[in-house]
Amino acid sequence: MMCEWDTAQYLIFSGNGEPLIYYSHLTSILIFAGLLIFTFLRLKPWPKNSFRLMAGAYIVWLFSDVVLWANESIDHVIFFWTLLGMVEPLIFIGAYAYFIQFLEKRPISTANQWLIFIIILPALYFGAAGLSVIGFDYTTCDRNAWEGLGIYYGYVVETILLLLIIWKTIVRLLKEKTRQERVKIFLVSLGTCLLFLSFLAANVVATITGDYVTSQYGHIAVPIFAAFLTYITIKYESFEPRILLIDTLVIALVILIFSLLFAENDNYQIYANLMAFILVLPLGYTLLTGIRKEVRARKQIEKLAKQLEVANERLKELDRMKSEFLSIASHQLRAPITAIKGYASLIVQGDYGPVPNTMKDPLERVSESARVMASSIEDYLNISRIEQGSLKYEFAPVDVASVAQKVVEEMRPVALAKHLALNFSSKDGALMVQADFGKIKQVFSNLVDNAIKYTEKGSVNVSVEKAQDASGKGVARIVVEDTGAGIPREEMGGLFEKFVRARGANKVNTTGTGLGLYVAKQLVEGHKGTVRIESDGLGKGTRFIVELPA
Amino acid sequence: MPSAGNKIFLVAVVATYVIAIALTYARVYVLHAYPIYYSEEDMPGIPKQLDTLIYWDKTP
Repeated sequence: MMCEWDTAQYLIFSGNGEPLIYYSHLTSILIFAGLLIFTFLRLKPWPKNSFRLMAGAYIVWLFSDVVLWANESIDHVIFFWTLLGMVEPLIFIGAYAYFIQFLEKRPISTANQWLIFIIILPALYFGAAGLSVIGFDYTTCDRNAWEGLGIYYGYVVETILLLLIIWKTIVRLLKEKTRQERVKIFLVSLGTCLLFLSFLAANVVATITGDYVTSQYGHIAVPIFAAFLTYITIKYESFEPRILLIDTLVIALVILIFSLLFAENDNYQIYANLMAFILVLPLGYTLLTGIRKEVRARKQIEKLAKQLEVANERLKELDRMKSEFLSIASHQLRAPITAIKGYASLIVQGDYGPVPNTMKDPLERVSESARVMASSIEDYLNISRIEQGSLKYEFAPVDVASVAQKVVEEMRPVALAKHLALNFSSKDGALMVQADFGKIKQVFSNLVDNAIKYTEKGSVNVSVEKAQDASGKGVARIVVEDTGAGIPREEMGGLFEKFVRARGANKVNTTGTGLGLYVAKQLVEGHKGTVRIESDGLGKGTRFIVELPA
Repeated sequence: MPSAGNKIFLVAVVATYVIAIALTYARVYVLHAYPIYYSEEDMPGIPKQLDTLIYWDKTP
C-alpha cells in the first residue's frame, strides 16, 4: 500500500499541509521581505548586513518549511528539511550579530566573523553528509523525516547564542549609567531574546513531540517580535520614523493601485486606475524625495551646528591663548624699547657729552622710532588686557585740557618733522573729569598721532571745551581735527574695529596697525564716554570727537 | 565599503554554502542516497516502488 498525497503546484500549493502554515509562513515571508527592502532604503547607518542575513535566511527557512508541509515528493522533503538545518543557524547568527552591533556600535571583528564561520561549518557538514535528516519516515503517511545530529547541533548553537545575549545584556546594564541607555539596551535585548525564544521553542517542541502543527504558533510570534525589534531600533537609533511611514504609505499605495489594474474588468475603470497609477508614481516619488531631502538637510544642520559649537569653543580658547601670548610678548618688548627711547633722548640732549651734528638726525630717528614702537606695544598691551578683561582703571580727578596740551607738546616734534602745524586751544581753561590719567593720555596720543600720520600738509588742531551731549548732560569735549586725507562716509563705522584701516591708508602711512583707534574707543568707553568720527569726505580732513562725562 | 577581510569572509561563507547545498542536492536528487524507514508488515513490497538506494525495515 502506498500513501496517498496531493500533488503540489509550484512546490508549495497543495492540500497536504495545514492551512495555518500559509497564514503563518507566507505572512512572515512578506513581512521579512518588506523589512529586507527597507534595509536598502534607509538613510542612517545601522547593522543592515546582519539584519539582511537574518531576514534572508529566515525567508529561505520559511519557504523550505512550506515546501515540507505542502510537497509530496520524498526527495523534496529530504532536501528542504536538510536545507532548514543549514540556514537555521544563520538566522540566529544574523540576529546575534545585529544585537551585538546595536549594543557595541561597531561592526563585528574579523576574528569573530571567522569564529561564526567555524560555528556554521559543522551544520553544513552534517547537512551535506545526511546527518541532519537521517531518513524519511514511511512507517506512517505523515511525510515526516527523522532528525539527527545536525538539527541538534543547530539547537545547541542557538541556545548558546541566546545565553550570550542575556549575559551581554546583564553586563551592559550594570555598566551603563544613564537610564535612557539602559531602557534602550533592555528593550532591544528583550526583542532579540523573544525572537530567539519563539523560534527556538517552536522548533524544539516540534522535534521532541513530533507535533509540527502546534509548533507553528511559535513562528507566528516571530514576525511580531521582529517588528517590535525593528521598531525599537528605529526609535532609539534615531532613524527617521517619518520617512519610514511615508515610504510604507507610498509603496502600499502604489502596490494597491497597481493591483487594482488587474482586479477590474470594466475598461473604463481600468483606464481610471491606470491614470491614478501614472499620477501616483511621480507624486509619490516627489513626496518621498522631498521628505528625505528635508530630513537630510535638518540632520546636516544639526551636525554643522554641533561642529560649529566645537569650533567656536576652540576659537575662544585660541583667542585667549593669543591674548596671553601678546601680553607676555609685549611686556618683554616694552622694557628694552623704553630704555632705547630714554637713552637716545639723553644722548640727543647732550647728557653724555657733546653730540656731533651729523649724529643728531640719526639719533632723533632712533628716538622717534622707539616712541612709535613703544606706542604700538602699549596698544598691544591694552588690547590683550581688554580682551582678557583685566584692564583696570584708576579714576581720579584729571584736567583733560592739560593732558591734551601735554600730548600736543610731546607730539609737536613729530608734526614739525612733517611740516605740519599742531595747535592746541582750550576755551574754558581747566576742565576736570574723573579719569585714569595714563589711559586718557593714551587716547589723546593715539588720536593726535593718527591725525599726524594721515595728514600730508596743513595742520592738526586739538581743542578742548565744555559742552552738552545729546541728552543734555555736561561733558568735556576734545576735538582732534586735521586737514588730511579724510574718510568716506561708508568707511567711518568700521574704523574703530580691531585691525581695520581706511581704504588706501597704506598709501599715506605704512606703519599703521589698525589698533590705535580701537584701543582709543575701548579706553574712552571704559570712562563711560564716547568717541566718533566726522569727515566731509576724501581729501577734506577728519574730526575725532571725544566726549567724557564732566 | 566592506574591507578586504569582510569580502573574503563573505566569499568563504557563500562558497561553503553553495558547495554544501550542491552536495546535498546531488545526494538527494541524483543519488537518492537517503534511507527510507518503512514497515514491511504494513506496506509490503514498498522498496520496489520507492526511488531510493537505502531501505530500513522498521517492522517491530
